[in-house]
Amino acid sequence: MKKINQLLVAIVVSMIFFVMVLACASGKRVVADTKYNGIFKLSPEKDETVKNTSKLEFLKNATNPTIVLRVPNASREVLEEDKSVKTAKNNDGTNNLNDINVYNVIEKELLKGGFTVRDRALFEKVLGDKSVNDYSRIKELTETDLILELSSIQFVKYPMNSFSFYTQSKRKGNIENRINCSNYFNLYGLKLEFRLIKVKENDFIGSFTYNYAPCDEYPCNYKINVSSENACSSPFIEQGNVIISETRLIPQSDIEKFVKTSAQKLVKEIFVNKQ
Amino acid sequence: MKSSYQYRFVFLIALISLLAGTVNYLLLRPDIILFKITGISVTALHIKNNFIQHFLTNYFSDIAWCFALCCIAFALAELNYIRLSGKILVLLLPFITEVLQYSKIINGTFDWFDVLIYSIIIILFVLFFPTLKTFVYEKN
Repeated sequence: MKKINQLLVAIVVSMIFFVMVLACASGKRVVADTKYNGIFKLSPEKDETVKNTSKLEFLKNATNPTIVLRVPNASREVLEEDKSVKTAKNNDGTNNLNDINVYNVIEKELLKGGFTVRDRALFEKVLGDKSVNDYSRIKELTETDLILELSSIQFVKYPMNSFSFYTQSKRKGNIENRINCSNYFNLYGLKLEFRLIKVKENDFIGSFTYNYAPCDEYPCNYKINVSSENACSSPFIEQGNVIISETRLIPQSDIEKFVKTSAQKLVKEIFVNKQ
Repeated sequence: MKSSYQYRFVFLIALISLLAGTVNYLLLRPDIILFKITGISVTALHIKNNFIQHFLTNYFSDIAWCFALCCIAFALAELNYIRLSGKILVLLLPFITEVLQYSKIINGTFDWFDVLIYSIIIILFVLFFPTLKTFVYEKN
């Protein structure tokens, strides 16, 4: 009887501890993500230029052709998910499209390129006048040869599902390894689109699209978490406690540089007949 | 019946060990059934160091649980509450649970590391506390 009682104690203890095991069960064993120093390379989409060269012939003889930069409201469109990006200047030095005076940068380059740049605000006022209903009248009132319309500046996704990272080996030095993710993650680039209109003849004479990808010239060094199932997080940078990811990975200086370079290319394209 | 502060202390250590395991689960794996049933909902803590995060999330509570079980087994054996069959049953429990997890009879994940850790803890207990050594106890 005593022996049975002793076994009973053992069974009770075992049952209690067994219930603990059941209570502490969950779905899957959680395996912590592994953080990699990923190396990312991207190639931007090709720039696209479509223009009516004959309509630009008049520039050969023009000393200082006049141009105005038209900024429709839609030009500040960003992707749906980018709407969460704060409009106030980010204190961490990261980008925000609205922080950059894109128009001033473009106008400055037009001026450098030999254009006489008309006042944008005045032009918008003329356009807003209901009595001005055709382009020839606009030409008359504003003495403008060309309208350069900034159709859009927006972030574009570059989906990726792999990245490289380096490991060090005593014998072989730095070894490049590659991880193929089970999902796609996005790096973000930029796209800038212009339309050129010849005011006098009311003609659409050119379309210019410029693309920027962040890790084109030099590979980018971002951190990335990979789960045991090879699911990859969005690449990110850690600045103290702040995590910078997605569109904010493009430094503001790079956006400004891209807009500037695009405007320079545009001026070159317009004046290509002049040489 | 033996009863002294020594055994109460062992029971207390077992209790503290279980409590530590529970707190660890609460902080790092709040998705377990215990917290779901009790309605406790907290956000899991993330530790920057991957190794520590992995260890605490997957092993610490198991170690604490096995340690508490051994403490209880030791105290009960000392107090003469359990004998040979009881000791075998209690000390085999960690392995039984792993087998049940492996065969998907109960929820949870079978892990060879768990088996290894349980073995180490039980061997250490048996070495340091001879009362758990069944044959020694039986001879006495």
